[in-house]
Amino acid sequence: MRTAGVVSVLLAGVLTLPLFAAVRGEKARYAGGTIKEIADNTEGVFDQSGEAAAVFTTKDGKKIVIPYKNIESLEYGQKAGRRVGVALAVSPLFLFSKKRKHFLSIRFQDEQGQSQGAVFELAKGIVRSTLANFETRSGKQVEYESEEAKKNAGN
Amino acid sequence: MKQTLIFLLVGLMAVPTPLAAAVRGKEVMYVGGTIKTVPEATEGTLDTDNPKTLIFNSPKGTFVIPYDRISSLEYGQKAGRRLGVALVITVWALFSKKRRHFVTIGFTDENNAPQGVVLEIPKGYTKTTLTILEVRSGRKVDYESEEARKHVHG
Repeated sequence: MRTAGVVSVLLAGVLTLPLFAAVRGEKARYAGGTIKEIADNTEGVFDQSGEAAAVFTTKDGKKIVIPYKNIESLEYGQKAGRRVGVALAVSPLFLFSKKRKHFLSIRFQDEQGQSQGAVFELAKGIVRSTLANFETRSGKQVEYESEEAKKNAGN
Repeated sequence: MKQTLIFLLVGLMAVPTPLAAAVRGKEVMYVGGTIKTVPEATEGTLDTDNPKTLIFNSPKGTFVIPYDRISSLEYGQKAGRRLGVALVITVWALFSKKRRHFVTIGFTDENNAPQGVVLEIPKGYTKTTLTILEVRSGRKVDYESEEARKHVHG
């Protein structure tokens, strides 16, 4: 029976594996979009120090340059899920806690005037500052996918 | 030992059942529509590399949708409880919902005939696929419900 318990926990771990893939620290992840020079789900960092453009740079030096004045829309959404894996392995009480992933979708025209759309996952620690920065410099308001997303931005 | 084996067997039989029903990884399913050169419920891949056309590839057939001929985009979900996992592992899994993601694309073909396809998109690629479709077609996605809009990321 003990073996069965171990098997259940392992099985649960495997089933919930994708839930552990959130970005952390100050990082962001290019989830995908029309920019094909960078592979989907590539991690990197957002440099927002420049006043003209935000630059997403990957580990291997590839960049996505987003000129603020060319931004057409900003959309923020979340993926909220229960901590099923931890609940199964540690305590059912973890089901009362939600883990959130934060996504920013940006539509813009690139430096060549081509329409582009990119979805970025942001680490929770940089959500508020990133949204504020994009809003201020682009002059566009962030659209929230739901009231819950608006309420929990950055949580 | 016998009890463990029975447990494992039941687990292996029951767990993959609901999971196999949804597309996984980068697979996309042509659920159905007016394209008759590809059978309904065909799994394949969606090529979004070309900025002019969306291409569905599968061993059973291919179809192409030019972005500038897209007339409508609609997104909806089918959400269900994880009964298989709940039965085999723990009832706590009933707190979690499994979602399937569907995009309906209306477009006109090269003969100006109206066409429509329903595609099931894997959960990790829903938002990015919708973003690509919106940017390249210039059309906005209609969400079937507020819940669908809220859970577009999975």
